[in-house]
Amino acid sequence: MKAIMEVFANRKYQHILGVIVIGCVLLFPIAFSEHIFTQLLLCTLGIYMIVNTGFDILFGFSGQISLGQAGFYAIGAYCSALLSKAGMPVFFSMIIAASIAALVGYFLALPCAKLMHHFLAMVTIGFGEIVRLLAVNCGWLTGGVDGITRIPPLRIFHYELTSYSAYLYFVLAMVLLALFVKLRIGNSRVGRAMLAIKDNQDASEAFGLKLSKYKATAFTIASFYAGFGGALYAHLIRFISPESFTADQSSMFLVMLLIGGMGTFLGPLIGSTLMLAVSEFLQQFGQLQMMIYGLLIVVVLLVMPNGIAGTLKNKYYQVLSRLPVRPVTDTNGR
Amino acid sequence: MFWQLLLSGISVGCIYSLIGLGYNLIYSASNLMSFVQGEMFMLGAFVAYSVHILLHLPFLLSAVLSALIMYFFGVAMYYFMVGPLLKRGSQQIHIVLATIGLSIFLQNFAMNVWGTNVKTFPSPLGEIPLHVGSVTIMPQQIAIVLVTIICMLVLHLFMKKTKMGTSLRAAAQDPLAAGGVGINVSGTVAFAWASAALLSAVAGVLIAPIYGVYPKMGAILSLKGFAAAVLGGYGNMYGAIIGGVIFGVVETLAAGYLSSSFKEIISFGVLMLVLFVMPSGILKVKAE
Repeated sequence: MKAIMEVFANRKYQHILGVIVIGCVLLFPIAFSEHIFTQLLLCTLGIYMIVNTGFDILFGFSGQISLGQAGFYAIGAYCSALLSKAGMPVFFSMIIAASIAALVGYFLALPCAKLMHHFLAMVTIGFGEIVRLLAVNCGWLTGGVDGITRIPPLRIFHYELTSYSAYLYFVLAMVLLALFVKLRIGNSRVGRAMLAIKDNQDASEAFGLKLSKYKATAFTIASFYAGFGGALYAHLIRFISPESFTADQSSMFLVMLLIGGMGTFLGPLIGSTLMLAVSEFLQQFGQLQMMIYGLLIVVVLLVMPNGIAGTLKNKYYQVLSRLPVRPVTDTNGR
Repeated sequence: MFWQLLLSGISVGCIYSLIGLGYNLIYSASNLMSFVQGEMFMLGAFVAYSVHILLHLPFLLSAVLSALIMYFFGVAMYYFMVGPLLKRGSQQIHIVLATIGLSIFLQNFAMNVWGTNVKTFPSPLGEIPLHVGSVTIMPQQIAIVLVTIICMLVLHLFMKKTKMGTSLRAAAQDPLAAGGVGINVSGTVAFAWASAALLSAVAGVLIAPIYGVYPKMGAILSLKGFAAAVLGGYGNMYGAIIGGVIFGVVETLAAGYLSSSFKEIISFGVLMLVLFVMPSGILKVKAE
């Protein structure tokens, strides 16, 4: 019994456990359902999870706020759609689109490194809006408000993933890969440096950490994740228009991350799942839907300041601290 | 052409300044950012519209009523949402997020109550344009500039000459010490949030005759008000005025000489460029 508790108290195992739980949660409905809408919803969920996992590296790790994630999401979607329509194999177009998004993120991050809180928020809002407005106004390339239709489906080794269930397995694999990479980054030197910068910028600079380097790294990684998510979205829906990449979408990403709990492993996953479920559930209320959604954000923030994952973790440690085995935490108590 | 554009740029810029002033008040009193300013702006316009058009009250009375209602709304917002969050020691970003939630709520609330279509709001000063040389001026544009200047003067005198203004500045500089000398810190912060709401409502009533009233009117204008505040130097009252006017003029000139569809791209581009070159805005931030 004691040994089992120790396993559960160890951070490293919690993560693996979390991955297994999430995998099961995602896989069960498909195993028992042939419902196309559910499959589509789960694909979207997987995409949100990827974007938010990346966003957590930016915000939860390095402490940089972004209200323009939808901009990177849009870059990924548009680039991949255009490249694949030009004849590039879809999987490569996704990777290249995400890399383009990452590159843009890098060049945006360099001058942003010295900006704090509100200023950074403003720049990212401006960036997101500029990307969206470019998509609206450069009709010759992006189709303007009508968007791009008939985006080719994903094809792996002559096997076309046209059905949502097949695509879901691909998305799921990508989610696991994204989580794995995040875990590795979190435990690496770079990840530790980001956390240090978030905790105390001046102290970390005094210790010789190059702020702009780590901040730009976080931005680049987050943009890659967002761009890849956008590309996945484009080939899932196979139609994109600027309407999907508004500032509302950016704040949705932020809300998902904060409600779930930032800087935690499971937070982005819980947040994405919960917010998507809530907004689907509220669909039936028609016009009242967004009103309830807005109110819900306020209420959750008033009740659960650390997000759901943070609150759960605190409770978990509260329970554990009453047990004979002490929880194993790292030096920061995380 | 140039003078015409400059003039309309200045009048639009004044609106941005008023909203920007609200952001600055909130920031200097509580170091926070509020995303609900645009919705205050929209609600102010809607309240004035309801009272003026539907209840047939005179324009001035409905404008004052709308400003008052939004003032008390701001007080309520502070005591029910921001205050509890602050008291519990929430991070800044959580309060920002709460204001995002509230703004989503209010925008959709307005859609449910008043509908989504644009309501016309006749200007109380009439629609007859004045001609000065080759420049055409609408009376409403003059009213916007005048009211903005009056608001700023009142705010300036209030901050520098009254006891409340002094205690607000003290509470902003050092909340702990201010509390120690008997200043009601949470009261002054609530007052700042309420005044910001009031300023936004005034801006909303001013611009309603030009653009009409509709639920989404606050969304883009709140961004630009924020841009004005940041551009001028966040937390600096005079910065917001300069920032707002610059933003309005650049945007209008860009729309006039280049293309109206690229107007927003250019204005946000200019903003980003300014921030990259001068990370704290044109006038430096007063308090860290």
